[in-house]
Amino acid sequence: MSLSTAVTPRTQAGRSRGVLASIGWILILPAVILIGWAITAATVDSLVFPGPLQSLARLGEDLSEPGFRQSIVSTVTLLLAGWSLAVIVGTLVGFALGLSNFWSAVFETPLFALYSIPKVTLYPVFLLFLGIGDASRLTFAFFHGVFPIALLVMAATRSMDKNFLKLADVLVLPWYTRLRLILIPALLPSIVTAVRIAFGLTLLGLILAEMFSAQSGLGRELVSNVANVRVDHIAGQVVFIAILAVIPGFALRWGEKRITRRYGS
Amino acid sequence: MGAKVELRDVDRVYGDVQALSPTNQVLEPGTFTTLVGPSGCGKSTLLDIIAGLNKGNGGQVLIDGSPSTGPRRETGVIFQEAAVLPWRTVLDNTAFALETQKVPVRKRREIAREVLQRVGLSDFVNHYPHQLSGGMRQRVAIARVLSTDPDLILADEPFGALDEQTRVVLGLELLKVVRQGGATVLFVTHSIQEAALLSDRVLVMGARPGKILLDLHVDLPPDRDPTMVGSPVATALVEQIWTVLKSEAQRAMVEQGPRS
Ligand SMILES: Nc1ncnc2c1ncn2[C@@H]1O[C@H](COP(=O)(O)OP(=O)(O)OP(=O)(O)O)[C@@H](O)[C@H]1O
Ligand SMILES: [Mg+2]
Repeated sequence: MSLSTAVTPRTQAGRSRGVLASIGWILILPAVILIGWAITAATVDSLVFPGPLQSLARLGEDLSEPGFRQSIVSTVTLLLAGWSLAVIVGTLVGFALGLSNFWSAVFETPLFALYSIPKVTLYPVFLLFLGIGDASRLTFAFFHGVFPIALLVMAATRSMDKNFLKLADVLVLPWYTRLRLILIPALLPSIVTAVRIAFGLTLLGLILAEMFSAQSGLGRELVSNVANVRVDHIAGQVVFIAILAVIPGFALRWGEKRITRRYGS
Repeated sequence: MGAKVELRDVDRVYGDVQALSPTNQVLEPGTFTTLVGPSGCGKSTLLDIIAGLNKGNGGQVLIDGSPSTGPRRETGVIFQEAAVLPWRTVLDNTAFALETQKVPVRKRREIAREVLQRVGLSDFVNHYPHQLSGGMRQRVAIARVLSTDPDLILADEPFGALDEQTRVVLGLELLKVVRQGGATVLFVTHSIQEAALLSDRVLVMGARPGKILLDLHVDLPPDRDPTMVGSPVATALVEQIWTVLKSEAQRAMVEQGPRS
């Protein structure tokens, strides 16, 4: 965090130029990947290695199909639901545990253990209890996102400056004022980081679940293409999923930076 | 006007450590009292009990005659580390206490500007804490305490992390502003010179069990300046405090000897 950004107000023109420039930088990497892809495809010149133009053309075809559009809607809906649930539950659980030294010590190790096992191995258990369908996809996606959020928020709550709490005590703040004016602002930078990390993980969990078992969804579309060896469709859809992941990812990163600059110490 | 603080047999035990022996003291309204003593002798414990942050085991704290049951809004507390909120500007940090007491925005900002002027931070109202030095942050915390016009100010080594000159300057500033408001002050410090220079009265505390050993009146004029540290009155006082603390330190070492 630099002094000058906060002290010198930047002009509107300067700011929008800055935004344009950073968007320009962001586009360099995809451009390089695209060119590399095109060159490799042209050199290999094989049916199982489609070039970007061909893949994007297939993606266009897919997008015009009602079934595929239905899959997008279904994946996006479940992603938003699973992610929001993970954020809400993870934040509340992490916060509640973090407030107590005892309970955070009790839960820290099990939470870490659960977080680090490859969750795919548990998927059969989900299927067994929830059956094939939206419930198990949603739960699996949620399951991927909720642990990192809980762990990050718990750590942030535990390591919060104790002086803030003492300040709340001496000012005789009721709990809601304490929450609104001290705890939430103090934890906000960690919460947004957790929210961003959870987005990618929730999407991962969802696509995985869809690949194993689902009637619709982008993961399911991918797998059915694998069965029919339609590599160009797969490539197009992978690009689509990447865009679906990357654009919110960047937006969240941007929001996180702003919030950290404003609320971080 | 300042509050009157009466301690009646207050004490505190942690496990088998007597952090504070039963203590009886009266802080008269509008007086500036410092509490000095070796590390771990129970100064913070005593201060926290008066602040209502620590319950103590027995006895009673009376503030203006009524028994204390917990923190009160009329008491201002200054911590060792400046408790300023990094996401608020200097102005909004200063106005924070008033904000939690639902004082309207314009009114509380006006008061905040006025106290910031008193602590010499007028040029920094729109800065964020990370743009300030440690001493300036502590002045923000002091400004926040002054904003509510407290009748009792409790400060636990507020300048402990600062260099000698800044301590003296800030200490005298604090003395000046509390004299204007007439609050009763209890000020904990490690520095014997600081105690002599700032206060009307010095309480010297010894360790194990935490106990007030000496109660000294400081016979200096009410308006202080840094040169008074060298005055005969201050020198004699410092010497007197040292004698007690030295034998106290020796006793502690003898006591701790067999254990280590
Ligand atoms: N929460 C606690 N649990 C157990 N013992 C404590 C606790 N707080 C303080 N003590 C003990 O009480 C005694 C007095 O502590 P206190 O913090 O009041 O000392 P102090 O005079 O403020 O020291 P310092 O100058 O180092 O701040 C110490 O022996 C300390 O170990
Ligand atoms: Mg202390």
